[in-house]
Amino acid sequence: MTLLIVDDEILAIQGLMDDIPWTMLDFDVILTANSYAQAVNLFMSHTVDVLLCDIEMPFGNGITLVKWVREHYPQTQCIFLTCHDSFRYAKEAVNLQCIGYILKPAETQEVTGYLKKAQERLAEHNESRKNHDYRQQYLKQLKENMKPSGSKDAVR
Amino acid sequence: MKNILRYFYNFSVTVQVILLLTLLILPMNIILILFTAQVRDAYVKQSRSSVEHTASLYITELDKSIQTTESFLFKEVGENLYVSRLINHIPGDYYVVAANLYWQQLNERTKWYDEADGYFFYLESEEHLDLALSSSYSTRKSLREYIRTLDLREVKGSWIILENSGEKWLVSVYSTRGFYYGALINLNKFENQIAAGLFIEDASVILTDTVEEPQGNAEEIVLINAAGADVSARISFNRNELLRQIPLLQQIGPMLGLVYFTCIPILILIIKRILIGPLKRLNMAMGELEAGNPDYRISARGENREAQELTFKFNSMADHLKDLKIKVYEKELERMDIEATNLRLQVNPHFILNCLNIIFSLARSGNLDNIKSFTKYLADYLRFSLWNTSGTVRLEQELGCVENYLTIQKIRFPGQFSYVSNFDPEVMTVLIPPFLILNFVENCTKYAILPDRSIEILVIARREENELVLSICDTGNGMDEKTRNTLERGEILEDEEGKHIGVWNCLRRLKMIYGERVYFRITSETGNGTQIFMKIPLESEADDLIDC
Repeated sequence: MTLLIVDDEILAIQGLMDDIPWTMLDFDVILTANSYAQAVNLFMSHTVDVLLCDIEMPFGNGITLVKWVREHYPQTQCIFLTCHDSFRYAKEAVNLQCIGYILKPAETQEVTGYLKKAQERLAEHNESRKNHDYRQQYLKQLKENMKPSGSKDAVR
Repeated sequence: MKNILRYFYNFSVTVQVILLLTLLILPMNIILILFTAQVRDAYVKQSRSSVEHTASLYITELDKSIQTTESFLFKEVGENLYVSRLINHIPGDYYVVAANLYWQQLNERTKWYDEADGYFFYLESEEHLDLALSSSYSTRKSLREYIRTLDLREVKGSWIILENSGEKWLVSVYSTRGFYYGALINLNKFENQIAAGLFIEDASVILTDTVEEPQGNAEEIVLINAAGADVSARISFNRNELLRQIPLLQQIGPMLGLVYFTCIPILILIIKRILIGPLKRLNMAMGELEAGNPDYRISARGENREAQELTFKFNSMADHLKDLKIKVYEKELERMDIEATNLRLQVNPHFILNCLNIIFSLARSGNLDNIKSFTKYLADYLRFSLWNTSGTVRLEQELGCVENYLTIQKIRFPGQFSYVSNFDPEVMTVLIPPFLILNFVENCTKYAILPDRSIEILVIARREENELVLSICDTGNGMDEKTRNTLERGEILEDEEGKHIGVWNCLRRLKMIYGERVYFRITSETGNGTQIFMKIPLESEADDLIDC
């Protein structure tokens, strides 16, 4: 699993990197970006599963970034990490189906908790997609099996 | 004297005017009245002596007549043949011729001599009465009859006054052995002469032998006694009538005094109306203003030009005062608003929260040295910006804060900008409004930074004659023409991120402190950096600046 941390403040990213007990989490790759542009570039070159994103950034803020991600990578789990306890941002976060809205400075456990939650979501998602795929497969197969013998009425 | 004056000053104008008028007019009035009374007395006295003089002249004449008449009568008794015949008459004798001749003689006497007006004789034994008098027959007849009724024995020996049918006579009767003889002096004649001799027209002149009390106070009486007889001239005249003859001016003197006296209240009323009225009105209006009624105006037009001017001036002054008050209030409100805005701008919560997050992050990394230095910079920055919401700061203080701020930003965003400053050492102690430079430097780090390269921030402070020249330049993002115009005009810039009030507030403060002496320019172009350039009057004395 891949995690992308986006924050314009390098020291903030450094703090997270140094403090989060990564061994407890199953991230294979941890990417960092300091701006919208860098983040978008990383999305293009990697499959990002979880996005931990600061809102206030120059040259394109976190909300815009997540909007873009929702458009292009709907399966990515997004968590906002911000200094601003603003209702406008919180509402946007809900609309963008983010799983977390964390206020900085945040306890390590809180961040870790949300990251775990993101992993679980992702796992559920993968499972349901697997199930979904399996179901599709199964139905497809059924359809194919019923074609030669079944009448139209039976399908109805 | 001073005490009296101080006491006097405590009175109201009305009382002062009444006191002054009374003090001025009352003594004059009293003097005038006394003077007039004296003049009147003197006039009356003079009149009396003049009357006495005139009357005594005539009385002397009367005396002379009496004297001559008496000596004549005595002489006749001794020398006249007819008289001796009549005296020696024996009843039954023929006497008529002698009486007749004597009567003729007496008649002649009355015609040619000035003594008595008439003579008479009475022969008791024959009851013969003859009266020699140059007058009308009827007068003679009634007088003769009147004398007959008299008891001659009783009245003989002295002069008596007889009154008969309106004529008044001074009569003397003598007798020698049954022969009565006497003389008559017409007192009316004397009375008329005296009256004609007096200058007083209405005086009554009476020759009398009785003394009468004067009737009424206004009656003036002059009594002149004759020496030869019990008769006196009694001249009475009315004092008021006499005074009426005094020249007009002297007569209206006391009246004038009275008029003046009654003038006091009228004068007071007039002064009260034209002088005290406006004064009181003004006083009351001032009181209203003082009591906090700024809309009070005098509505009366005023009783004279000064009062009208006073009304006009008071009203315009009150208008002016009101305007001024409103202006002061407005200025005060603006000042308070600026202060509040300053506070809001200085205590940028985002910045503080972000800094706290950095400290938190540094702690996460266990970077203790960085925590120490960062916390110190932040503390210095906050100390400056939280405590200087008003007043002025030294340029060096401001620049210290700028450097603190930029150091913090450099730690947060390494490689985003570099900072260069150029300060003239002589302006370092100049006083400026706080955040004048910091405000623009913050804007550089917020809006000028570029994503792809580092920018340069240049702060210059120098002296140019009597002005402080400040310049904050960057090589960053720049701004479009519309934004530049809005900011340079000192208007609030508004975009999708909200209102940007930093530059607007800064210019507002400068305008409030220095008025039109402020020069402010922004030059900028999109992508080509921004140059802020301002000139403010150089004032190193803190007292010259308004708190702002």
